[in-house]
Amino acid sequence: MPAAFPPPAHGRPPALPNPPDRAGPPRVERGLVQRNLAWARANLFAGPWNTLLTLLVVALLLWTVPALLDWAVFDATLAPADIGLCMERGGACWAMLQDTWRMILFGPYPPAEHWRPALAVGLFALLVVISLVPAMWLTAGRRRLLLAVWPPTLLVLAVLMHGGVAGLPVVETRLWGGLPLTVILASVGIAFAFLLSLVLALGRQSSMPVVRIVCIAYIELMRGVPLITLLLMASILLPLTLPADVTIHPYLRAQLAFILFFAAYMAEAVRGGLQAIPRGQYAAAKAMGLSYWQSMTRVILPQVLRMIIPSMVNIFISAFKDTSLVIVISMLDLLGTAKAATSNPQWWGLFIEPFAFISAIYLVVCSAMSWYSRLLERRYGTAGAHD
Amino acid sequence: MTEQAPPLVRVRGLEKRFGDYRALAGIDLDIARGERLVVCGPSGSGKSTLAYCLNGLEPHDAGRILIDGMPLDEELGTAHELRRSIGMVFQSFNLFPHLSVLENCTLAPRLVLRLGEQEAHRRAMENLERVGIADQAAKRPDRLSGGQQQRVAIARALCMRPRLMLFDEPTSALDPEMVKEVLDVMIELAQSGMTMVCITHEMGFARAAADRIVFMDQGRIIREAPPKTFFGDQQDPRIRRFLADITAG
Ligand SMILES: Nc1ncnc2c1ncn2[C@@H]1O[C@H](COP(=O)(O)OP(=O)(O)OP(=O)(O)O)[C@@H](O)[C@H]1O
Ligand SMILES: [Mg+2]
Repeated sequence: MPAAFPPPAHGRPPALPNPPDRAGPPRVERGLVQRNLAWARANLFAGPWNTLLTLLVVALLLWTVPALLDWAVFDATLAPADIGLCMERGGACWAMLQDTWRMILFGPYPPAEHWRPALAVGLFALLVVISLVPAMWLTAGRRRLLLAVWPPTLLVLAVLMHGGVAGLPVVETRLWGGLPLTVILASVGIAFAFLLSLVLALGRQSSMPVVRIVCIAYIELMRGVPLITLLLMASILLPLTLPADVTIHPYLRAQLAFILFFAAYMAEAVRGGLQAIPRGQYAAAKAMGLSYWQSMTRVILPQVLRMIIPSMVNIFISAFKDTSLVIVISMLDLLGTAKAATSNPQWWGLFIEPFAFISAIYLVVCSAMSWYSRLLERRYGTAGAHD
Repeated sequence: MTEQAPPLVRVRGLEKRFGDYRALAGIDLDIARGERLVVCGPSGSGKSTLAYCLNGLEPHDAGRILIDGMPLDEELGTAHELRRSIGMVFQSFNLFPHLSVLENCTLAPRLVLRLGEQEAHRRAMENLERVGIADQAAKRPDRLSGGQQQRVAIARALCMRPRLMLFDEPTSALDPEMVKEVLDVMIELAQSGMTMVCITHEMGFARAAADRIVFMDQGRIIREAPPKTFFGDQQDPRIRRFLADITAG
């Protein structure tokens, strides 16, 4: 045990010495190794249970990681190869993805035109990212710029995808699939469901009984029905109930089902936020002469939205992943094209690779969303938590 | 005030019920232009309810409120119109926490009065200057002390150029050391000729700035008198008890 600690610096209160049994070398001389050891002792071996848990996790890692590495790296097969070689080596058959990734990403879209959906998705992602940078909404000028950029960009994206202009061959919507379809279903679905949810949540606390009852009934109905039945009803029942000469595009039917379904969930999140706003905020807005809509859009909802960022992003993430349910009505979204890839006779019998591929895509997008939500929370979360 | 000038506010037979409970049980009150009225009374006597009715935040059940001769009535659609010319300051400040101090002051002038950005900005700074808080204009309200927040709330109301200001216990949510800075602003406002209705238990303020004190109990006005008379000879035991209570603490 070291005999003494350095004398306290002049004017500072003397530091409490470490308890004798834990005393290491004096703090100033502690090196990297000691600090890491101290961290490990505090976080990994702090008690019998903690130590046991640490050992269990290490055992689990020792057991799974080598097997996973063998499969994904050491025994994996890259192109050029065929299914026979893959089977022989036993690991992941990345050669299959090298052969089919474009088909998984873009579905039945004509291969010669694949650059168009790729460019469209890239442009869309770029615009979304730019729009999400908080600095972009700081001034009214930038907000106006953003609002002005969106409509023409969407038009350009539609033209890119559909063609028929400037020498681009027409690609009918029934050939759209894979990632672009997932992105369209998710972004259009989330955007419209969000707008509808604001109306529903405000309607739910309306002073007009009819409006209130309709909104409550709607929300409860949608929350009580599985999304998958809603999709099936939209794709099978809806065409049967419509007159024979009216047809709705299958995409629109699925899209509608998503919007209607997720709007109900988002409305409940918005309602939670609305209830947390003190009555005084309504009174103050009204006393200043603001109309109902002005107080909602300028005073109440901005505070509500800041408050419900985490629950809202949770719903966005669910919505994004649940677009994959359109597979039950035979639409070729990302999951649909991955499944189609598994029935490719050339690679018959391989499942994990295409699903791992699209899982990685979903994972990246969803992680980005939750990272962004934490960023917003740090920035705005506390500002709205007022009473 | 000459006898002929119509009062800015004329209240006749005003009643307000919450269910079976009569929070206001027939109020008659005239407030002249430029008059400073202090309203006091025990808790639950209907003071806040009166203030909320006077600017139409709460619809009344019976009686009439005339602002400058115009009836204030939710049904006639005049309540919304009249409200913008009546400023209100709340006990709990009720600043908008997501907006800066400056934006709190420019929001309604821009949306309701349709002022341009520069004019609204100029007016906001002028009033923030007046309440002594212009240097905090860029901050969020939650960065300010209670006294500062209440002064911002007063400036925010003044930005609408109201013809009547209502104060509902503006200092009772404040720490004692901050009461004075808010009262000073209110006294300055009173001296500038603003018509004011102040619900407050600050009898020092009432003595210094009020033209008339109105005492309410159980939804009725049971005494109105100039401060001198009010504090001078107090016959009514309810008022005596009230004054004893608030001076006791
Ligand atoms: N929204 C409401 N619903 C039901 N009752 C109410 C409501 N607002 C006020 N009251 C009742 O009306 C009565 C008068 O309330 P008011 O707030 O006007 O009193 P006050 O004189 O301002 O009291 P305080 O000094 O405590 O603020 C009280 O009994 C109160 O419980
Ligand atoms: Mg009150």
